[in-house]
Amino acid sequence: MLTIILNEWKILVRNRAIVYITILFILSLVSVVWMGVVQNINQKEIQQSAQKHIRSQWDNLKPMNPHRAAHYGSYAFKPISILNSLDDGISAITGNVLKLEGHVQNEIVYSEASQAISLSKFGKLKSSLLLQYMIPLFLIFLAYSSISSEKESGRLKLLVFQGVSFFKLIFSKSISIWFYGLFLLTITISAQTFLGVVNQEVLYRIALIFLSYACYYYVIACLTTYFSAYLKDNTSALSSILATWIIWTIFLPRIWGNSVEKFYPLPSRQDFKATMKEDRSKGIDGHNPTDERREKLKNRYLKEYNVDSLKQLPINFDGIVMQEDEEYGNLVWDKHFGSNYAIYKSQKKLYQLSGILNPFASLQSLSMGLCGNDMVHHLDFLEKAEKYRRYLIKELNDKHAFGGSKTGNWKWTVDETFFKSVEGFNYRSPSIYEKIVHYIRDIFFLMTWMFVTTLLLRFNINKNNLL
Amino acid sequence: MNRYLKIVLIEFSHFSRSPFKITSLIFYVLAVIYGCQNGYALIKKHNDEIISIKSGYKSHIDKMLVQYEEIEKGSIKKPRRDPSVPYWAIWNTPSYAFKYPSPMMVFSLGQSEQYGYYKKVSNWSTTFDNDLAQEIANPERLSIGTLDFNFVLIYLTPILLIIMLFNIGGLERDMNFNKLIYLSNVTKKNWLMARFLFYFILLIILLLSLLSFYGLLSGVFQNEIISFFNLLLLVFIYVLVWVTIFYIINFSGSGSPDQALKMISTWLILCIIIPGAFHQFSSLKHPTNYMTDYLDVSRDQKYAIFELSTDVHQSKLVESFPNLKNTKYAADTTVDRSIVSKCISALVNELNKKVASQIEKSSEDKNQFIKRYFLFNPVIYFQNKVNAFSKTDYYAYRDYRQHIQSIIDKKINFILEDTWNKVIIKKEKYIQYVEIFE
Amino acid sequence: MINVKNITKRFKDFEALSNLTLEVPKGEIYGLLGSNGAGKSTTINILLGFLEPDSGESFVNGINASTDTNNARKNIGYIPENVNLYPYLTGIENLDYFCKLAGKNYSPKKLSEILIECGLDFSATNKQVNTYSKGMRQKVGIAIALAKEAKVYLLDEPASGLDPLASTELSSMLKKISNRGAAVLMASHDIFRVRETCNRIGILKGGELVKEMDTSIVSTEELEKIYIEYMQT
Repeated sequence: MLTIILNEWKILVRNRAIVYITILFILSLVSVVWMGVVQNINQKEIQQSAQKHIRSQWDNLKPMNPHRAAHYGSYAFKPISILNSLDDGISAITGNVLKLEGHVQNEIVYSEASQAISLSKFGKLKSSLLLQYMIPLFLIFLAYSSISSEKESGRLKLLVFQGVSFFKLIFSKSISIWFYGLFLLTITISAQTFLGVVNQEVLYRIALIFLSYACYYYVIACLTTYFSAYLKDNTSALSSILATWIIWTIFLPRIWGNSVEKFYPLPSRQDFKATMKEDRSKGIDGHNPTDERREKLKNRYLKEYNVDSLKQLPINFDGIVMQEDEEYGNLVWDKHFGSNYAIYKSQKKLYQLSGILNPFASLQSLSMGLCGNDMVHHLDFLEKAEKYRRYLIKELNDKHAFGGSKTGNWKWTVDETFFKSVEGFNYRSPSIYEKIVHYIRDIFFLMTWMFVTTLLLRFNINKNNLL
Repeated sequence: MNRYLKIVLIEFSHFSRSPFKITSLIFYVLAVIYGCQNGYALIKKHNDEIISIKSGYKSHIDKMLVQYEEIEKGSIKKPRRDPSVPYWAIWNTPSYAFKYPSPMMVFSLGQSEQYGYYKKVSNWSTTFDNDLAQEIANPERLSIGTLDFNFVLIYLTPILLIIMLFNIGGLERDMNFNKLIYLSNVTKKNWLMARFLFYFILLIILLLSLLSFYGLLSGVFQNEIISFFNLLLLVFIYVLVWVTIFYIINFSGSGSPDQALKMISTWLILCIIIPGAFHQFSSLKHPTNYMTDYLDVSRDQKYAIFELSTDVHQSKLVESFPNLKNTKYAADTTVDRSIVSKCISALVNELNKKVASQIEKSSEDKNQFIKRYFLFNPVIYFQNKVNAFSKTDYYAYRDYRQHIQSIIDKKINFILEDTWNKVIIKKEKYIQYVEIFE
Repeated sequence: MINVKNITKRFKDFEALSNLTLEVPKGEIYGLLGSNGAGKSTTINILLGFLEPDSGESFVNGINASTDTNNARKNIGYIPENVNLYPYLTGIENLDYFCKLAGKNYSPKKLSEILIECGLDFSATNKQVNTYSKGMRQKVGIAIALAKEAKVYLLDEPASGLDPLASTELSSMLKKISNRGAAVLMASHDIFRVRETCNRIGILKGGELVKEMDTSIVSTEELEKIYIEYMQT
């Protein structure tokens, strides 16, 4: 087997066209990684400076009533994932700025895609674009004639005649082409490791990215060699594998993606807002003194503090009302946004099932997931931002209620010392260990594809196909 | 000429006896239908949503009218937000800015999934408000993209052509009888051209029929006939460009695999790599805008205006809106806080407009950067053209934002004029407002 | 060494071989003559183990070629009509590769000797095969077979497309091989070359062996006459 693999590589190395293309690939991959890293650094600086700017505004707030500060609010800027330079996944589509304020749970807005006319439908020229589209296609071109040309030239008989089994011959050829893919993959991953930021988490993720792409390249190499061995000539082998590639990369992701939304429909924004508003209206209206539920709460507190009127309360009842309102709003948020997030997750699971038919879908899902740029990571950001919003507003409401002011004293203010004491939003991207469970299906399907294509080579090729 | 016509006709036999090509064509037709159907469904969804919003605000108007009647009769006392005051009357005049879908949207969803298409407009609104967010959608699905006609045309048409054309002239070389063909009194150039012509005509007729059918269904012939014909012309040119590229490849090709390899590589470079590279360059040159300028206006600068005294507010208002000098209140010698404070949104709106124009300018700079290189990035040129014809491109939504701004301005003008003229709003005047903002 | 016993092979409705029996003993070169479709290549493919006969048996050095294909193949050297080698490898590298696949490791010196023995110039052994003529490639093919130290050689139209000098060199090479005790079965429709090279000739027609004779008893002209007579009847 090693003899065949070495021989295939010797032939590859002697082919000038392949050598030039390989050099071109290496240069492209390294420069694309480099550009990605530069873009990452730029974007990170902008994001961090925006976050700092907002924080410094907060730290330097003039003395202000805490509730007014809750309306003033804060902003969470979605950070760039470290591996954005490899695969930016959904980051151009999703918004980047989330306003965090009292009473209202906003949505993330200002996506990159909305800031200019339409550009590539397949994403930016990141390594993932080359690794997902270009390199597999090149592997196809290397492999489609690997057996059929041996067949057409009659060399196959000579080879088999030397005592090599069909499987050993075909499998070795697949492996030699797979190694070529691995070689380019190693270049990309090494470039990312040398040029980008590396820590333990990044290393884990990079290792998994390497394995995912390695699995996919294995499938491509084996399947192409299979077609090459199974079909009667070069042209049939090439047209069949190209048709498969087109269906996998162009057709199925879109058709399956669109169908998934029909299986698990999301509410329209209008319906969503209306139902949220309706549920929200069942809580306390913090700004409406005639609200009935406010009355009940008031009576509860008067009883608790054993006083007759709000004026006698040692605390500021307005802050209590605001927090009560907030907590009810949080329940509504959990219900409605939670339901949307659950639908997203169901959609993702169903989409991942397309891996049964399409290993490319599994690869794409894994690639953006491992680079921290898929929906799972996006939802993690949104959930943590909401968690922070709740913390921020509670701090302000508690200060309002228990900071020393009395009910109805809206002119009471707190100074910057307090504002500075409120923690800022520091988003930590989840570790892959926390999120790996979301990608088990993708990993399983890719491995199944590896197994199936190996079986195809082992058991579905016989000498009749080869003669 | 007759001989070449025969070649074209014989090509039909080649085509009809290739199950691979016929299956591909059927898939392509299904993709076109699926794409147009997606567009058609989105138009319907947008229209339905707009109708539902409109019916929702009708009931609000009815409630307001009853309230006016009861206040006038004296059966209820004026609420906290007194509707006889112009500010609250206008506040309670529902006004939505809609971006009605063009019937041409059936052919391209374009960037429509990136933007909202309805917005409740108040005097405090801005063109970058949170409620102008896009429809709720799975971001991964958005990132993969929707299979609309534009996608089929731009990306799948060349692939169909590759399947149809890759072995033309190549098969003869593979089987070593190409020389026999060229010795049969036809030139290679014309022989290839005649065979290519068959597929070109087939594809154009097919696209024309499907586009006309969906055009008829969505009503483009009533409203968007020029855009429709522009689209047809664009389709013709786009298909012709690809056929020409593939013709050149086949003319110099050395067999079917060689031709297929060159064709698919060309597709990959023109459709994926070059657009991807420009996408990346434009992000480097024009990074994502976090809109901090806008955020500053919407918080700090707005709060700074709130902090100003009523005197300063009044003088700033007069400075920004000189026609206020001719109002009843302008003639008063005392400062009326209740009048001036209701007009602060006009000052904030001025700030918002200023920052919005900066943001739009920065987006336009990015657009100009992209457009400048269309010659090297032709596929994206065609893609954006189809989006423009379908009114689903960035500019269609910029126009929509301008429309929103014009409604905000109108609201503010009414608030200023009527508040400063101390107009008391009754039912009739409210109806006038409703009609104006409808 | 080569035994074909009552072999019949059908491809759908077409009978390619009909009850064929032939034997090639040690040290003999047997020429199988016949028109296109007569069954020559089918016979060779059955002996190579690439096709299974519908009935009958074939033996190579006493080993059943259908049931014990791998062992039978160890005894066979095969030279096809066109020896297509890896164009980007040199003659010596090609030979080395095929030898390794067969489980034989030769030193570069030995490989070079084998190639020279098969008639390749020393200067050509280190040139890439894409610079070789058909005759040179054919010589490398013989070298591959020879290096395998086979006992049986099967040749399918080996002289097709070779110039007269290369054909003559091929004949003498085959004679050298048979003199070492190998059995050679050569399928061809080149009457002159078969007459010059072989000890015995069989004429195949419609899958049947219609005539067998020693080359020593016929001249080329007589052989041509007999062949045409059989083809016309």
